[in-house]
Amino acid sequence: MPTRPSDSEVTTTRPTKIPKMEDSIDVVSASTATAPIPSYRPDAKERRYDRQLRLWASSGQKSLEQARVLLVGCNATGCQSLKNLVLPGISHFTILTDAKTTAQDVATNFFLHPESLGQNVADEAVKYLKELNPAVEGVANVQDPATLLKSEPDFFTSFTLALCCDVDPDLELSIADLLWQHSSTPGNRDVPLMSIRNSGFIGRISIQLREHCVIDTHPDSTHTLRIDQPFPELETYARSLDLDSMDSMEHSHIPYLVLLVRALCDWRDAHEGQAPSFEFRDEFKETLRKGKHKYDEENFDEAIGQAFKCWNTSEIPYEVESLLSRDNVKNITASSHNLHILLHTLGIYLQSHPLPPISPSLPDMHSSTESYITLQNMYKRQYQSDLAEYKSVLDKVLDSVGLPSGAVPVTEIESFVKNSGGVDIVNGSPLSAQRDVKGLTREAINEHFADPESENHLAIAEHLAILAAERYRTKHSIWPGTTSDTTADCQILEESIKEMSGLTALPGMAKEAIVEVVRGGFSSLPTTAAFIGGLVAQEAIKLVTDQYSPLDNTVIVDLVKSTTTAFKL
Amino acid sequence: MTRLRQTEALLGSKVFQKVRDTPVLVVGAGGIGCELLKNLVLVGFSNIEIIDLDIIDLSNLNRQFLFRKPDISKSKAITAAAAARHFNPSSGIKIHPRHGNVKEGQNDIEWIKGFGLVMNALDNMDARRHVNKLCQAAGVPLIESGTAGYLGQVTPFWRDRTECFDCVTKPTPKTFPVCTIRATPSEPIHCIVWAKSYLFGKLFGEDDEALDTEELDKAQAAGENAEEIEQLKHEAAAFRQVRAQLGEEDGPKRVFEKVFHEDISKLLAMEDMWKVPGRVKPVPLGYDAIVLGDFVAPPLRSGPVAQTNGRPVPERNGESSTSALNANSKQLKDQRELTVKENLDMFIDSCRRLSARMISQPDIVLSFDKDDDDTLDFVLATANLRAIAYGIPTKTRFQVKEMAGNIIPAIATTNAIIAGLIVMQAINLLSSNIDKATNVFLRSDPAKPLGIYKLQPPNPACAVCRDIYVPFKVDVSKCTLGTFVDKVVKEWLPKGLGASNGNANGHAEEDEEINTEEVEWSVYESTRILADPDFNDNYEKTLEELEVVRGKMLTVRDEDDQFRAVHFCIVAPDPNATNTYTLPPSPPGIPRKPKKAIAPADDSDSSPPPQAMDAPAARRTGLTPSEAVSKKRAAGDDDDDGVVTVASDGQDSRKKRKVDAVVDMTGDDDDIELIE
Ligand SMILES: [Zn+2]
Repeated sequence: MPTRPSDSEVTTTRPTKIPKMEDSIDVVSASTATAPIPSYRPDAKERRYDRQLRLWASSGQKSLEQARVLLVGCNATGCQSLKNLVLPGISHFTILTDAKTTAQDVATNFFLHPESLGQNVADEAVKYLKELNPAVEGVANVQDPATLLKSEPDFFTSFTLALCCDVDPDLELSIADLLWQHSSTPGNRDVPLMSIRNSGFIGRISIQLREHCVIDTHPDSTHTLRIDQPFPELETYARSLDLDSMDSMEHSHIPYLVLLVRALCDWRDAHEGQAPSFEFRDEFKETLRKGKHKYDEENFDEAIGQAFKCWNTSEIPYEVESLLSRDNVKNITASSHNLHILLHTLGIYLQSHPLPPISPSLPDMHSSTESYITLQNMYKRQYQSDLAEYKSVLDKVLDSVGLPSGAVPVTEIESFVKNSGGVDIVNGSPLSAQRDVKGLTREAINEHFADPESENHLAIAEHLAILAAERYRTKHSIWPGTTSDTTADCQILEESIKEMSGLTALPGMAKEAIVEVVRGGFSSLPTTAAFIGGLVAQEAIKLVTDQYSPLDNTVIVDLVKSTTTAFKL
Repeated sequence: MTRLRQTEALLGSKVFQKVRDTPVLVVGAGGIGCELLKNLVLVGFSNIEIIDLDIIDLSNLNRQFLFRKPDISKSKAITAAAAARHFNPSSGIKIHPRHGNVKEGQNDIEWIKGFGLVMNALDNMDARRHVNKLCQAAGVPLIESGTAGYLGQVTPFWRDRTECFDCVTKPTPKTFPVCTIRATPSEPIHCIVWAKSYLFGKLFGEDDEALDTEELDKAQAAGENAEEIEQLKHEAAAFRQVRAQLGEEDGPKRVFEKVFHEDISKLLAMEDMWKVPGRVKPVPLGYDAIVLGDFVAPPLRSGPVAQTNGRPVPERNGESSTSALNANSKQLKDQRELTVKENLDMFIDSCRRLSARMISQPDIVLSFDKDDDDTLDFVLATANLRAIAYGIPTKTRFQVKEMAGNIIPAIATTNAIIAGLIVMQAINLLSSNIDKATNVFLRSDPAKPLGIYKLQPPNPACAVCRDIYVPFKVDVSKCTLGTFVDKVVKEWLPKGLGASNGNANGHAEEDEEINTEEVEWSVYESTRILADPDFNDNYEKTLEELEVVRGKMLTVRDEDDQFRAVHFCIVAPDPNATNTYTLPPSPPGIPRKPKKAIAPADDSDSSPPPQAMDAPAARRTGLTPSEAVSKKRAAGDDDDDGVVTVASDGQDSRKKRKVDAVVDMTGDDDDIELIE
C-alpha cells in the first residue's frame, strides 16, 4: 500500500501571506529600539532595481542610469522598446518626430489613448512612457527630423544610443552616416544606432557600431585552472600529501584538481620531466585509477574525467591574443579607452609571463569544505600576487602615456584581471554598407539565398524583401502593401530582388517572404511589437552596460515560425 | 471594431473571430502576466480572466509596467486589469480580475472548462503543476512560460496531442538533513536555512510543538543519531521559555545567550558528535565580548586566511549571480561585509522590531519574506552569527536575500519577448493548426536568440496526463465514502478496472483476462488513503467530513498499480439532481499502465511514492557549458517570472531534453522552499 513519503529532511510549509511593508525604509519599529537606522539596508532605488542588479550588477546599473536614448519615429515597436529601457532606469529619452497620432497608432500602441488622436504622437507617447518610472526624464521633440539633422547635427550625437523605428530609409541612412563619422573621430564616444523595421509578423533589427568594448561577456567558463602548469604553492601542496596513509574519508575528499596536479608531478618525475602526451592518456588515467583506495571514490572519477587537462596545454586564449594584436591596443594614447590600456598592459605582462594572471575562482568539485577552501585560498593568493605584478606594469604603461597611476579605477583593473578571457572588442560596419548589396550581403546571398536548402534561406529572403521594400519606399514615398494593389507591389519587389541578387528566377521561399512582408504593410502587429521591443531593449542594454556580446549586426525576426536569424552584413 | 482591422487582416478573419470569442484565463499578473495582458488586449482578445494572489511590491516595478508606486500593496490582478482596461475603455473588452489563489476549491474542473485556452504566467512549480493537472483533466490547452534573467521559455501543452508539464521529471528541491541544519552546519546555506526555517519559526512563527516532535521522530526513524535528536528536542522545548520573554528589555539578549552560547556549549559537550571526520567544532559566542569589542572570532574552517572581523569571503563559484557583481560589490550598501558587532546590533534591533509586531498584531503569524526587511534583517544577522560560531564564511545582505529568498534575476526585456511569443503560440493553438505550435526558448546567444523544437507526444508513463479524470457532481455534505465505493467504484466503473473498452495502448488482450474479483482497489485523496478492501472505517463518513470537498479529487487505484488511476474531480452538485451525486452518462475505459515505467512524473499528489523513486538523479559533474549556465540560475525562482529550462541548440531528442529538465531547478520565492 502506498504510504506517505517519509524522510528526515527539513521541509518548510507555505507561509500565510502577511501584509508587506510599504516602500519605506524605517517600518514598524519598537519603541525600545535604540539603534540608528542601519547602513546595510538598501535604499528605495536599490529595492526597485533589486532583480536586475542581480543580472548586471551595480556597475551595469550605473551605466544604465547615465544612458540617454534617442528614438526617431514613434510606432508601437519603438514605444515598446523604450518602455523596456525606462523601466530598468535609463537617465533620459527623447522621442523625435513631427507625426500626429493616427487611428492606426492608437490601435496598436499601448502608450497612446483614444484622446491622443490628432495630437503630436511624440508628446502623447512621452506622457505615458514617463509614468513608468519617475526617475527617468522624457522629452518630446516634435521637429521634423530631416530638418533638425541639417540644422543641428550635434543634437543627434549628444545621445548614448539612437533607435530608428520605421524611419524613412534615406533619412535613417543620413542619421547613421552622421553618427558613424562622429564615432570615427578620435576622442569621440561611439554612438551606436539601431534600425528597426517591422511588417506584420516579420521584423528586422540592424545595429551600427563602430567599435564596442565589452568588459564582461559573461562567458560560460573562465576557469583556467592551469593544472598542466601549476604555480609553485599548488605544486608543493600536491606533493606534500601523503596519499597512502590518509584515512578513507580524507582520501575520498581530495579535490580532483589536486589529484591531477599530484599525478602529473609523479608522472614527470618518472619521465624525465615530460608531461604525458595524448598517446599516453590511457596509461596516465590508469595511474589515477590505481590510486583509488575504494572503487567508488568520486573525486578520483572526476580526476579521470578531467585528465585531458594534463595534456591540453594552457595557452593564451585565441580571443585574447587577437585582441592584443589590434592597432589601437598596440599603440595607446592618453585618450585610449580603458580596455585598450588594460589589454596593452596585458601584452607587456605576457612578455615576461607565459600566461595571463590566474583567476581566483574555482568551479564546484567533489571535496570536503576544508580542502576546497584550502585550495581556493591558494588560488586567491596566487591571484593577488599576479594582480600586484600586473598593476606595477600598468603603472609604467600609464606613466608612459602621461596618465597618473590611478587613471584606471581599481575595480576595473581587478575585474579585467579576473576575467581577461571575458572581454571583447566588436567592430561593426556602417549601416550604409549593410544596405549595399555588396561584400558580406553579397556573400550571404550567394550562400543562403541562392541555395534554398540553406537553413537561413528564408531569413535572407525576408531581409532582401525588406531591402526591396525600402527601395520601393524611397521611390514611391509609401510602403508596399499600403496600396490597393498588393499583387502589383509584390511584383515590384520581386523584380527588385532579382536585380539585387543577380538571379533571373527567384529561388525557394523568396515569394513567400515577399508576400508576407507586403501583407504586413509595415505596420506593427502588437505581438511583434512586443517581441521586437524586447529584443531591441535587450541589445540596447548590452550596448549601454558594456556587458554581454551584442548582436553584430542584423537579426531577422519571423514570428510566423517563431524564429530569429542573425547575420553579419 | 475598426481599430483592430489591421490585426484582423493579418490573422485572417476566421482566426480573428476565435480571438474575439474565446474566453481565456491568465494565471499570474506578475512580470509575464502584465506584458501578456497588454498583448492580449491589443490583439483583440475580449474575454479575459486574470487571477493572482499576490500584492504589488516595490521590487516589481522594474518590469511589471502596469503598476505604479501608489499601487504598492494593492492586488496585482485587480490593478493590472484596471490599467489594461484604461488602454481602451470603450472597446467592449471584458477583463475579469480575481485576487485569489488558483488552488482554491472553487477553481475546479468545471471552472477551467469554461476557458478555451489557459496561459500560465506563474512563479512557482506548485501552482504550475496544479494548473497543468486541471487543464489535463479538463482537456483545455495550456501555454506554459517562464523567465530567468536573459533566458525564457514558452511551451504549449494539450491533452492527448502533446506532452504535459509533468511528462518530464522535474528535480525536487534540494533539502538538508535535520542534524546538518540544527547541529553541524558546514556551509553558509546551512546557517541561512537554520535562521529562516528553524530559528525564525521558533521565535516568531506558529508555535507548533507537535510538528517539531514529529519531524525529529522521523529523522530518528530515518537513522539519524539518537543522542543528537534527543538534544535537539530539549533545545526546542527551551525555546518556548525565551519566546515568552521576548518582549522584555533583555529579551533579545536572552535569545542570544541561549542560541549562540548555551545551545552551542551543549552540543560541544557531546563528544561523539565531533568525532565524525570533517566536522569542525563551533565556538560559543560571548555577548559581552562582542559588545565590548574584544571578541575574537574563531578561525575559518580552512585556517590560513582567518582574521577577526571583515574577513574575506571565499566565494564558491556560482553562488552569486554574475562575475561583474563580485567585482563591483563595494558600491551598494547591502553588498558590504558586516562585522560581528554589526551583526549583533542588527540581531537585537530586528528581534525588537519583530517582537513588537508580534505583540501589536497577535493574529498575524509572522513568516520569512525576503521583501520584509525586519524578517530579512533577522535571518541575515542570525545566519551570520551562527556562521561565525562555526567558522563558516559570512554573507552580505544582498547574498542572503538571494539565497534565502530563492531569487533569480528578472528584467523587463525578457518578459516582453516571452509574452510576445506566448500570444503567437496562443494564435497557433486557436487557429486549430497545432502543427504550427512549437516550444520556444530564448537564450542569451546573440547569434541565435531563439531556439525552437517541436512539440513532444505525451510520455506514456506520465502519472498526470495519462490518468483518467471524471467530473463528479456531488453534495459532499450528504454523500458518504461508502456510497462512493459501492455505487461508483464497484458499480459504475467498468467491471474490473482493466476491462477497458478499447484505448488500451495495445494491451487489449491482456486486459480482457482481468475480471472484477482479481482487481483490488483503493481510494485516495491526494496521498491520503481513505479506503481499501481491508479498510472501511471511513464508509459512514460524508466526503465533507473527510475533507474531500470541491476542487479536490477522489482517486481510485488498483492495489498492484497495473492500471491508470481514475480521478473523480469534485465539483458543485447539480441543483436538479435527485441523487446526492451525478456522473457522466458512460464510464471511462481504463487502460493498463505501460509495463516499465520510465521516468514517470514525480507527482506526489497523484502517484504512489515508489514511482517517484525511479526518477533519475541530476548529474552532478561534467556539465556542458549550457548546463553550467543553467546551473547557475538554478538558485531559485523569482516572484513573478518563473523559471525556465534551457535547450542548448533546439535539439528535439528526448535525451537532450532530459538533461535540460534536470537543470530546471525550480524553487518558489513565496514558498520559502529551499534549493541550492
Ligand atoms: Zn504528462
